[in-house]
Amino acid sequence: MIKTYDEYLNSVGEIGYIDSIVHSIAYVTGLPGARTREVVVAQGGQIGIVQALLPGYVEVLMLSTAGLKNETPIARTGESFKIAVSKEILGRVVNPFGAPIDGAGPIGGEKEFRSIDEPAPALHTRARIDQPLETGVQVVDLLVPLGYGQRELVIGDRKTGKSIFLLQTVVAQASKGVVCIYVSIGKRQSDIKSVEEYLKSWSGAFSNCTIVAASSSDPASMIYLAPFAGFSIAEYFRDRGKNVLIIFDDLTNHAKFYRELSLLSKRTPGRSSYPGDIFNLHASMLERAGQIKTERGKVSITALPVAESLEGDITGYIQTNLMSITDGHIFFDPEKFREGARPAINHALSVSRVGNQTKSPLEKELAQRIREALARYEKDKEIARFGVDLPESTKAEIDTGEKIELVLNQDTETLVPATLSLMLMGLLLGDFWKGKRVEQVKVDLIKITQKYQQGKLASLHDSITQITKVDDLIKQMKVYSDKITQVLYE
Amino acid sequence: MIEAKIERVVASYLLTQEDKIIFAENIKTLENEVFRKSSASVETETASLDPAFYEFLEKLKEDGLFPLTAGEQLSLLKEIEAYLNSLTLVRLTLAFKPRRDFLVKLVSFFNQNGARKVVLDIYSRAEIVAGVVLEYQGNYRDYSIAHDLDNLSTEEGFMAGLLNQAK
Repeated sequence: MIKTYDEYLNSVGEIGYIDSIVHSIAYVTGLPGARTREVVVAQGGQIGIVQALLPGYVEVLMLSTAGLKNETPIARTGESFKIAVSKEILGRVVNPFGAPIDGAGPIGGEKEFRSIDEPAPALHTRARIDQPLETGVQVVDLLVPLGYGQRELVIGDRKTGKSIFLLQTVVAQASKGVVCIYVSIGKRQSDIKSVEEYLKSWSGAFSNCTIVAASSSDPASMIYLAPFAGFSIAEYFRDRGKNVLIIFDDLTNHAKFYRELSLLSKRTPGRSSYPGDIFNLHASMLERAGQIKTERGKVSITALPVAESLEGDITGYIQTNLMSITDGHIFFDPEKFREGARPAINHALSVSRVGNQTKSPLEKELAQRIREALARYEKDKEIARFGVDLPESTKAEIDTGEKIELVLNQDTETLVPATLSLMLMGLLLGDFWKGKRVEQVKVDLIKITQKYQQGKLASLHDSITQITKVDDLIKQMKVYSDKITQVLYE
Repeated sequence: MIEAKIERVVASYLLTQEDKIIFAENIKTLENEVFRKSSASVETETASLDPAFYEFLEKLKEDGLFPLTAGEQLSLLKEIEAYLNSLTLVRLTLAFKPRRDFLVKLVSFFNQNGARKVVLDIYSRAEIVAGVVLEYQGNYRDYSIAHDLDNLSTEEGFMAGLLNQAK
């Protein structure tokens, strides 16, 4: 807001009066020329957004209702809702209005006012998703790969590791210079603080991130706006040639707050009492993501919305809506979580519709082999439950499956680059750990990761990048196995 | 539809939003009383009415426009009620509290120059200095001196000119 109430009143020349207020919804008489999504301002400076035009009334979503009462005058602004964005918003925690809430003072820099309702990029500006996006989480990078510009739903029960996976992805991408926007929707203040602390614990990562936070204590109208504001910030950086990763944690919460507002404004409730336009709301918002062609090359906004499921049920209304809107989903299985898998991703029930096209032939072949090995392992485990004597081949399949799961398990503090991931899988398929106990393999995995990070396996890194077939990878790793053993125990 | 003669009488008594509210309340009171005592007519139930509305009823009787039977009287009151609801509200902010005769002039000006019959909702705010702030169906126009002065002060060179004149 640049002008005052009086200035808007005189420049637009339209006035309305609050007839009634129901929570955040104000019904205003007057304002004959009001348009939906237009910002209005009350005499006390309170801001609202026109939600609907009803016979005789304008329905306004007030972002603050403090001091509002019947007959409070309201003026039109003739503008849509805009937030001020500058480059210095990176490394900050802001509310959906773009105002800092981290206590680190005002945000400086040359500000640009951006509408929160920008239209999605046109069809002819869009480019095919062809660049792989590394999350640093092996099971995703190998089996459910993502690409820049993709919209991938992250779905799962509470406390199954969704947020930590997203934070790992943010760290992996932020450290590569990708701008990351984390939109926290209706979470507790403590959750927002822990996200901030996690990102700050990785050196340099937070300086490429912005947290847009609307906590559960904020008004429903503010929570409703949070993802739109997040997208505006993302588009600001995209338009400056930066790849952006945006995370919405979570959209089921957003849908609930939108339902609350819709029920208050007496819209006809539909399935599960959600309003009829909930699909459109999320679809049109996520449509703003994608890879686009610009004069400076391709730039993208990758969106990772989160959906919370209940007891592993992914057939809920909002969950299935989001599945059909996005280009795939990563399912965090509570059953896998109970079994001790970290991250608890069920790769068999996860889908990436466009991620595979970003992968090299080697990665595609390797993913296929791993999937087959894991499928055999699951089948063999069923047979092994009966306690029958198993043939050697079945025992070997179970052993391989267990070790694949072991390699795919990783803690929250470790990010595995794609080359290291290929190296580990090459070693595993090349029987590097054949006959070794699980504990020994675990120790080896930690050591290899450490040595890789220290740069002691740099020569291997270079040779792996030139390989195009899994058999060649296995051969290569067999050649290097002595050297790896040497590096491990030096 | 209300008769033109009756409309003229109503219009002469009805100038402001306050008058409209008084009329509407008194009509309701009368209707309720007549309904409660089913045999009573409007004529016998005028004791609890506002003096202005009573005067209006007397004027109607004087002009022979008030029916004799209770049924007809009630239907006339309903017609007047519908007429009240059809009036358009114009909100005026003035720098002073206007007298009744000034209000009569204002209402007749609006009624002659506008397509619809109006009632005025009058507010007084000394800060506007003089002139009027007009609000009609959500449209806002500030024709006050305070607004003009404010615009003048933002014009380039205004302050310098003012200072030069003072010298």
